[in-house]
Amino acid sequence: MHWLLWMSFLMTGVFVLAVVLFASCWWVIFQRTIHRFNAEEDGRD
Amino acid sequence: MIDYLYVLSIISIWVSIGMTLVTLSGGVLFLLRHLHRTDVDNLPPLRRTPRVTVVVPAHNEELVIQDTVKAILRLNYPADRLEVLVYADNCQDRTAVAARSLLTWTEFQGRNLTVIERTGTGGKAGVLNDALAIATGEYLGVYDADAAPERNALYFLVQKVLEDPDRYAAAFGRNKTRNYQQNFLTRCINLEIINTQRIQHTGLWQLFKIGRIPGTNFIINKQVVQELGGWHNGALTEDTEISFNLMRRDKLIALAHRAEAFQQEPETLFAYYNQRKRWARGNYEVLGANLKHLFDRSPWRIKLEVLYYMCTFFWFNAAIVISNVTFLGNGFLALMQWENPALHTMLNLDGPVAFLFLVNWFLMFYLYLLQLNIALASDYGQATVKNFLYSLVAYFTYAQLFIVVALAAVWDICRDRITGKRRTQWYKTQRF
Repeated sequence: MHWLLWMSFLMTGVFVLAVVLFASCWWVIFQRTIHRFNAEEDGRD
Repeated sequence: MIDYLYVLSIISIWVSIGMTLVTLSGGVLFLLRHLHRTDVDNLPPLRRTPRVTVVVPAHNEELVIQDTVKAILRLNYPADRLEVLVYADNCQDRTAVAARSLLTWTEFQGRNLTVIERTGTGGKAGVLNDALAIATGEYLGVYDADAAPERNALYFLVQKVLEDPDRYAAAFGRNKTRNYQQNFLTRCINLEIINTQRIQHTGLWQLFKIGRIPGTNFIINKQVVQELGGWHNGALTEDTEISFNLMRRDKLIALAHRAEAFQQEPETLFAYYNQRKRWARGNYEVLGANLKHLFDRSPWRIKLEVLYYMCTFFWFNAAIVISNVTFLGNGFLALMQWENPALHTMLNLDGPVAFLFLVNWFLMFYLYLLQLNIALASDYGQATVKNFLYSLVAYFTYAQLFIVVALAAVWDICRDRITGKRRTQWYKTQRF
């Protein structure tokens, strides 16, 4: 069982990194969408 | 023995996390590349405007048909290049009258709108085949009776296929939930749809140029469909089938992500259950018919699609069912232990193994939340605290419904195989 345990720590590390990466992407997408949304709303006014 | 099961379950989790990460990467890449603003009021003229025949299959749709046809006639596309065919398919209500009355409106006079009252068989596929025989357009567009397209939907679809007309046999847009604020169920369906369209569709297109025809809000090259022999009459999910057929010919179904239509989703559990069971059953059947392509000389895209469907519908689904049964069984036995301390629970996880599973489960849950919220963040007005809370709750409630639906679909297929009868009931999705 132990090799699996080592493997999972490794995989877990990879996944955590991926998740952090995606979390920052989320922030960029969120900010830009809000910005674009506001710009279009202003345009309409 | 139990060790092997642990290994198998951990591998199942990793494969599903891996697949999610791949699609998520593609989806995020696509979103980041397409975040620029499009001035929808001043779109440049199209390279050319092929004649398009828009087909609207309608079965007892008097409640919604007028709104849909109005939206189609108001599309930003030259009126003389657009033919609209509304099929009132075996209707017992006033669908045809409601649609025809639009021709008396000053706004729509002289428009190329034909309303056909149909009594044939074959359901939606039958309607599409009838339309295929009489359509004058170079492309066929399909809008379900409840799917009102946004003004520029057709423009974006045509723009997309014209990018590479030989390769792109079809283009599809995205559907938004019109009635998502109705109740808890529609809110959850909305989350699911945003996730599918903003992450899965975009991801698969970005990475592999794979697209699937979604049933509504798409256009397809008429000649290619004719060469394919049309739609399979009576197929439960004619969309999946035609998508596979196109891919088998090495044609692509392109994603036109700015082509949007607004669709009504089921508002009751009963309507939801019947709609999804029909889809799941159809998908199992299409999958069964295409399984052989994993081993023949089919294009790699079709192999990937079959593999993807197989993992989702067989492997992961079975894994989730086993996991839920174990969890509930263990919970029940733990409760019974109060009464009778001699009882043992089914599975006793402790130490590093328990930790391992917990961490992996948490990762999966976190990835689910992240994926859903990336999708929400990319959509106007959907990145709200309310939707975040709904996404939390949906994991434990709505997401589990799929298991029931998939099991019911498998049961239906097995029952029909054993009894030799095919009881395909086409429950029409109720409109509100």
